[in-house]
Amino acid sequence: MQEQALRLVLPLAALAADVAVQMAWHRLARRKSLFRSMGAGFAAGLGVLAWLEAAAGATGLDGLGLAVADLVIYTCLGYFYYNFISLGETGRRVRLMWELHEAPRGLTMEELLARYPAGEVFSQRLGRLLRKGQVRLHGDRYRIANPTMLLLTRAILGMKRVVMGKGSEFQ
Amino acid sequence: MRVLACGSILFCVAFAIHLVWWRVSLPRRQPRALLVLFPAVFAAGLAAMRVAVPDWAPATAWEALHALFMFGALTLAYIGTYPALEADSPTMAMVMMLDAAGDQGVERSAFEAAFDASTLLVPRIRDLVRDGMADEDDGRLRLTMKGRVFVGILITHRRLMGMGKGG
Repeated sequence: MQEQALRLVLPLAALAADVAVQMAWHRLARRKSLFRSMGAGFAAGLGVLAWLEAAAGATGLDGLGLAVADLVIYTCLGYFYYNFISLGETGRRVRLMWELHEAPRGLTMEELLARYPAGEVFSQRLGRLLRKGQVRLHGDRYRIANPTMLLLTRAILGMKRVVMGKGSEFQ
Repeated sequence: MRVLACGSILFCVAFAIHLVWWRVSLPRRQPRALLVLFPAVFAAGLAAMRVAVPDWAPATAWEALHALFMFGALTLAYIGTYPALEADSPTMAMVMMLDAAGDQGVERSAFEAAFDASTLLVPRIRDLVRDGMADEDDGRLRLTMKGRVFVGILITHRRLMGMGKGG
């Protein structure tokens, strides 16, 4: 029973290693890069999981099944953590809530939009697309420069159509 | 193999029911509906597996708990992706607008004018009220306790990483 209970802890221990390494990497690295810190954290967690699985020493088909299940659990939790970080980095709802959090007496719609203007949302995202070479400004016109983001966007739109039955929330 | 089979089969069943439900009628509070649907499918599915396919169902309580961990992790990963499906991402909208324009591209002023508060921020403020993260009283928006706890966790995490406001 103790062995079975310990098995449940393996992917959680790997996730703890992922979070600790990601946060430490981001704090200590000279060149701050969220993407690199997330990659380092995930790799560290994977290493811890592999070590713990080897130490647990399960064999046979059932052992393989449990190891694959643990890998799926760790990968999903790591992906959830990646989404959690992204939510804080780019989520508009989180930023709006942060502004409301700093105003205990509340804000009118106009005050909230003054603290987090649409122009800031637009320029942050356009800046990222330009810096990453996905979009370029040629003369007075913006154009797609690299299809990577376009392919990703089409994939997400495809998923949106499958799940929601529409390509946009405004449809 | 029972943990792997039970966790993945029940997740596929929950996902299929979610797809059918959403196509028939979109729930008003979608994330909340997902958080009710997926655990309910796991509980009902586990009981059904024990009767219909006992060889594939978890044999002990620990195995059932392990299968629940796997099912829960898959569900969390999907729920983490869900905001990208539920709301239109401004980055995606920009890329699609430029794609639709083709080689001609989009004039700078027209591109900037297409993205204003009514499309970028007002729907997200309404989401906060709809999801119970904020309420509006006397024309002022305030965070609810639920919203305070949720954003408090994110703020603490970002401060621990030495980071300020995102957005």
